[in-house]
Amino acid sequence: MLAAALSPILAASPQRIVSINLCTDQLLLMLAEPHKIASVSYLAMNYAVSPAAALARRIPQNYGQAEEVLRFKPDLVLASAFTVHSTNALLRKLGIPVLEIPVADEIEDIRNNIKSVATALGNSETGAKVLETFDRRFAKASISPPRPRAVAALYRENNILYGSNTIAGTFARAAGMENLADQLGLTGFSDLPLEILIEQRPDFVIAGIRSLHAQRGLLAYRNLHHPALARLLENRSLVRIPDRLWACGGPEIVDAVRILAAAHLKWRNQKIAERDVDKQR
Amino acid sequence: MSISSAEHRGAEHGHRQSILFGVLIFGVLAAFLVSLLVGPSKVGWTELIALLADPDVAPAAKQILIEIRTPRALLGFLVGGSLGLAGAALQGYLRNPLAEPGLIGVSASASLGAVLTLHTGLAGLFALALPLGGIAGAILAVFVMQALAGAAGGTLRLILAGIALSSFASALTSLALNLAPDPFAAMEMMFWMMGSLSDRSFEHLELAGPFILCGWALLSVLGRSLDALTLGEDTARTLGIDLNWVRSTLVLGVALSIGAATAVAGSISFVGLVVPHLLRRFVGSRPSTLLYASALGGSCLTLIADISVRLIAPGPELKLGVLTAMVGAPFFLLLIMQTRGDWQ
Amino acid sequence: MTLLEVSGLSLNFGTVPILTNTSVDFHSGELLGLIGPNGAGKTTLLRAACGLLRATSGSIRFLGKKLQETDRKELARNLAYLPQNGQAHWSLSVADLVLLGRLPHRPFWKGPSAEDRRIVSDALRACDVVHLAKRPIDMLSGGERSRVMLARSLAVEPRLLLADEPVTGLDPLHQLEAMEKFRSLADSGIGVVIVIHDLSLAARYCDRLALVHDRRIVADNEPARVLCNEYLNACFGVRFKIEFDHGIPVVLPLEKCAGN
Repeated sequence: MLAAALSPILAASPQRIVSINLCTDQLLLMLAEPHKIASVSYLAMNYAVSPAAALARRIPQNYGQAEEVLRFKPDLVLASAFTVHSTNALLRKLGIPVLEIPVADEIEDIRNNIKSVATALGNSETGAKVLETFDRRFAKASISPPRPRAVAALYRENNILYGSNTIAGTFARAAGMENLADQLGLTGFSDLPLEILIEQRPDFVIAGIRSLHAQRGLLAYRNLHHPALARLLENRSLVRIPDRLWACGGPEIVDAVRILAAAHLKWRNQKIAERDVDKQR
Repeated sequence: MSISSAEHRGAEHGHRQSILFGVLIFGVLAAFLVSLLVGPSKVGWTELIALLADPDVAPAAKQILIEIRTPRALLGFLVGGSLGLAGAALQGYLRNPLAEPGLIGVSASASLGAVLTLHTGLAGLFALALPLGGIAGAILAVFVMQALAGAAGGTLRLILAGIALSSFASALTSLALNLAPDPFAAMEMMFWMMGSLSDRSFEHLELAGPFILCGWALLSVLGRSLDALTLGEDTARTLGIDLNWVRSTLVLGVALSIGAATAVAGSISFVGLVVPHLLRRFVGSRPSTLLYASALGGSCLTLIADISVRLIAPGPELKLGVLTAMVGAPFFLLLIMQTRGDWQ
Repeated sequence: MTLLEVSGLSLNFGTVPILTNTSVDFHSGELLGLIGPNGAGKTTLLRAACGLLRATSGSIRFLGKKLQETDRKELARNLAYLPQNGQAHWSLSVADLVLLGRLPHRPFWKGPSAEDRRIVSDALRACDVVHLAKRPIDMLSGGERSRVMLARSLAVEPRLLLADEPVTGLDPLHQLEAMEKFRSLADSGIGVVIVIHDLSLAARYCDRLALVHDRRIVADNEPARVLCNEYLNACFGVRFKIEFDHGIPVVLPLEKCAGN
């Protein structure tokens, strides 16, 4: 222990860390000792979108502006590669080390992000432990059933369809589902007119939770509130995945995999039962 | 001789008008039909005919035709008609060819009213709050507009007051959406400022339709008053026109139709400017005839524009309001250049 | 008979008095000329008589009934107002514009009847603008335009016609034609009131002149009695040469009066 405390690597480990992005907030809250966290973004406390919201209470918030970040005199700033570039550049110019974390779309991205943040914090051991737990739980939740496999549309407000190479695509795949976006040749986030969804008739429509509570008149949610979708879902399944599981790629996606895998298995059993009935006729 | 020539002229007049209205009605019907046949999915002619022959045809085609495209086409008809009718009525009342619900800030204020009902939760409590909010915003805007630049105000005042009112209403809309805890606020803002008809349902139609039709009824009885106003307010009054009645009917009619239309479609500019201007020459500049022609013309143009946004851009659909602004704004500039001499 | 009776009329714009205690009668079959210097209140008197302005005190009666109590449509069918420099905001055809005069005579859901069209035809012919019927109003000359506006007010078939400076800006020929028109209208039984600045024309065609000065009517009599230097000097601040042609005064302004 004493030897470790004297090691130059640990001596150089950052003591006042600021995160200015919801997704780096998660990594920081997961991997750092609470007293070393100087500030997290204002979204970190929001249960709807932040998986680690419980840990973020009592930690000062920031709105991602260079000036307020400076007040915390950080020796490391965590930012998403998605964060406003001018802020990152400005902080670097002022001599503050900024670690940019890429967006996680695949399982490997999640693992790499955990590793790199853990290393930067000097907490490689914690990182390894978190990774081990994640790998174990993810493997346990994932299923890969033989055919028939359900086709799922990961469909959210503003007509956005999530492709396979997104975090939602990743958890749907882990639940053994086919992604409608693949069948349509779409990748990433695409705009899918409601008409096409109705025409394609996927077995599952997977939406967020907020869309349940959203004001009916808000135009962003018009696709999810459309009676034609309700009609489609009369004999299809709608699965709602909490928004915080879509927000960032992190170990929390295991929860999404579990929900989807359970729904998928139920669907398969029903399908198989129907097929047997047909055969008997 | 002069008697028969006057009668002859009347007949010729009526003949030209019948042709115009025939063309407009045909245009609306054709655009409505095409609107049912065009969309991102392949559903078209064959499916429509199959559906008419047998209502229990493929459920996907049925849902797409009946639940997605039909309400959209009907809304296009109602929203467009409102824009054309309100544009012609405002122009007639203010005796200014540049008056238009979008330009004078009525649409932006209606958006504000609708957004406020959403973010105060009123619309969640009872659905009618949404169109009523839009109508309230529109009423306020027409009143402010009259106070700032009434019929005696002149073109410059009208346009400047319109810019001020639009900017203010848009700023308040942005503020309301900024304060809302909604991550899609920025997109939502764009929806309200650049109207669209995509994925609207019969629910929208039920919310807005009755108000829009009431607005139409009010505006359509204004014809002869607007005709009389051609001669100025004094003469119109000596012709038995009650200007107070005209004003309140106009305010209410514009507010009901534009307020309700905007509450479900967002603000759509320039249709109310372009349509009356294009049709004026075909109706001998008579404000009353122009009123009805503009309602049909507005419907037709809006349906065509709404068909175009589905055809033009692959990928995310172009916003209807973007298209009308792209076509309408240069037109507006042209009109300003033409009327430059009359500014006071 | 007396069509319209103004008695003790006072009228303010805000706190500024425009007319004080003015009384005058308009009769059928009579051509009355309202004369007086600019700003004396002639236009205000005319507009008040049409019910366009609210009196501060005094009363205006049309056919014995107070103006405020007269049905708006009823009044519109019987009284036509021809404003100064009548404007047309849209480029209507002449025929359509004149047809507007028929508005008070039909309910709002009805289009013009054959009767309406006949009356419009007559009005066009009476004002000698039949050949212009199809032309847009904004393509006409000033003289043609004022004749069309007159035709518009005749299409009302009013019992009383109130015209504000209808001959101002016309050439002598058209002035004479217009005055003859008013004369014949009066002879046909209509009450005609015109605001006019040409005193000689007024003297020649009007049955009666009312001289408006300083917010009230100072003289109201047959032309020869009103057009004398006693009144005119005081009202216009101008000394006139007044001659008589077959007993009708011809009035020529000579010079400003001393003190002006």
